Amino acid sequence: MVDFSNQPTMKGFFAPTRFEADVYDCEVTGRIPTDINGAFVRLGGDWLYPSKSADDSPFNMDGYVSMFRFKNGIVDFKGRWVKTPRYVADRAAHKQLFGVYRNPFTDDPSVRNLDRTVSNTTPLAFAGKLFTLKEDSLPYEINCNTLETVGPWNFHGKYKSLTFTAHPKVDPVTGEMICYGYEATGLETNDVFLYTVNKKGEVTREVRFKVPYISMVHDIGLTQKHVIIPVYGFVTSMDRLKEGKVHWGWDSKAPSYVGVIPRDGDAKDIRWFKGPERATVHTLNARTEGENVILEAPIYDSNPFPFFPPVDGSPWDPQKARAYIRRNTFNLASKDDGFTEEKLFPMNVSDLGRVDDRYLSLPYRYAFTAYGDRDRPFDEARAGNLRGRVNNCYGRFDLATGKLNSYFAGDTHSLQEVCFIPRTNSSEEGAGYIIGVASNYAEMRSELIIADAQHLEEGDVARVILPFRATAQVHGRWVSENELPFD
Amino acid sequence: MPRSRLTRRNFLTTLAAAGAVLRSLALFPAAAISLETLSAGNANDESCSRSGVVSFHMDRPYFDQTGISTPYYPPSGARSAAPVAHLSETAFRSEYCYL
Repeated sequence: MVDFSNQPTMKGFFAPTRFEADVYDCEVTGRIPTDINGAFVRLGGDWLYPSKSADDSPFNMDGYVSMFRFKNGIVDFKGRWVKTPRYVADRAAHKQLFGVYRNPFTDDPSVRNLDRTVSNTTPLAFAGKLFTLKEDSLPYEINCNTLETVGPWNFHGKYKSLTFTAHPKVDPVTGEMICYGYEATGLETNDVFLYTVNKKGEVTREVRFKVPYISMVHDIGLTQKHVIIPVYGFVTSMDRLKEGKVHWGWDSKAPSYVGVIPRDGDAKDIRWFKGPERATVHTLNARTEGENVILEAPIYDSNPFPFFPPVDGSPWDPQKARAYIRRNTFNLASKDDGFTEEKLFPMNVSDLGRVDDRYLSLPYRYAFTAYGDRDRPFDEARAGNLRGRVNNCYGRFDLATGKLNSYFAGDTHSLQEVCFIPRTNSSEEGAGYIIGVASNYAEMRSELIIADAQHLEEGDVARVILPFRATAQVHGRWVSENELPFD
Repeated sequence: MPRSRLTRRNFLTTLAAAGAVLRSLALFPAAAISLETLSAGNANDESCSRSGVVSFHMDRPYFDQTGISTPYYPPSGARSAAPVAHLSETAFRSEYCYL
């Protein structure tokens, strides 16, 4: 018997959805631009069965992949569970067999040897295949037309890490993918394997190194010459897991390390810089300028996630769980291990930011992300009071001038991660569309927003209306028509 | 309406304070408009007609001082965020770190 009634956070708009969906020829307001053809693929999680623990992390939800397929001005929607071995086992047992986030010691003995990933973080289209990613296991291949799960993928056996990041970087110049796995040789190991994969999907390079302490290496920065590896505050141990806790806790005394390694270098070439308490969960972009390696990212002062609580028993501090767009500069000619930090915009933002991917690893100007503008209206009478918690705007942050251009989603809406679609491959940087899903709390439905990225104040050019709440995503990626073998 | 924030909550708070002062001074009996009368979507045409009509749209007050117009009644929404509104920031973000 499935029962979510005792879950105080899973009510109203936030209740689990738990169904698979097909909507053909979706309702649209406005007009879908004819130069958008491909798919907006989203990945997130939903609880197939309730967690076994109130202290679990939402990152332990079962993976759910969905897709808005754009073709000749028509949009179809499809949503499917990611059918991992874990999903299959739970379905067969009609209950949750797996314990808390990334802790196999809390699992039912019957599933001890199964891959326990939920594959719920980021979709990836690469080398003609669609994958779902989560950093605790290999990628799962997904059929790009049916969204049915094919199975794990190890790049023809040449990818040796047991794990694969949720944030590989594709170099727009070479077409190569730079990817990695941490805890690469097993649970609670400090090994990182860093890979280069060519555009055919073949591993061409592997570097193995160790991090200063075992931590969440969730994202990296990529330049044309270097890879930047942030290591920060999240800590774990085998003892912790044996006590039945979620994988990570937060140690405010743990220094932030940032590794910089040449793309053609080896483990001996990595240089570790050291800084104060910070959390760089996601990055925007990076570049190498002479002796300086520059990373720009929405960086938190401290722990952003209350479900990975402080290890010293202190309460989680929401005031420090705010991300600001910052620039970190690492001077390779310096003689010490310090680096500089600048805060580029005064307001806190969603750390799920994006750039025009054609400029990844290169000098660029624009970053896009969601944020909450508390000067905008919120219709509590129709949506319910969220007490200023919504991200109601997408912003285009001009890193050259400091100017912010904003798109406002509406007075009953909150926005999920933004994504940028270039108008054409040869368009100037930032010429194209921003796309992302809004939750409409008044109408109890999800709406896909499409707005002209150069005219955000003018509002959306089209909205795709779903007649239900779509499962929330963590990340979404735009996949153009020629990237995958779409029907 | 200027961009500076005059929300429903700000407006009602300010009006309540002003009304209390005026009532205590007993200088302007007509200012004693109850908050119930002015709450969203409930502006009562009869009782307010001599004192103007207050409506709210997009969380901002609109005031018709002629008292002639019919107040705007917003359509009732699903209020689907309301069931989690009472949660502390820690409890809320424990499930919805990426809203």
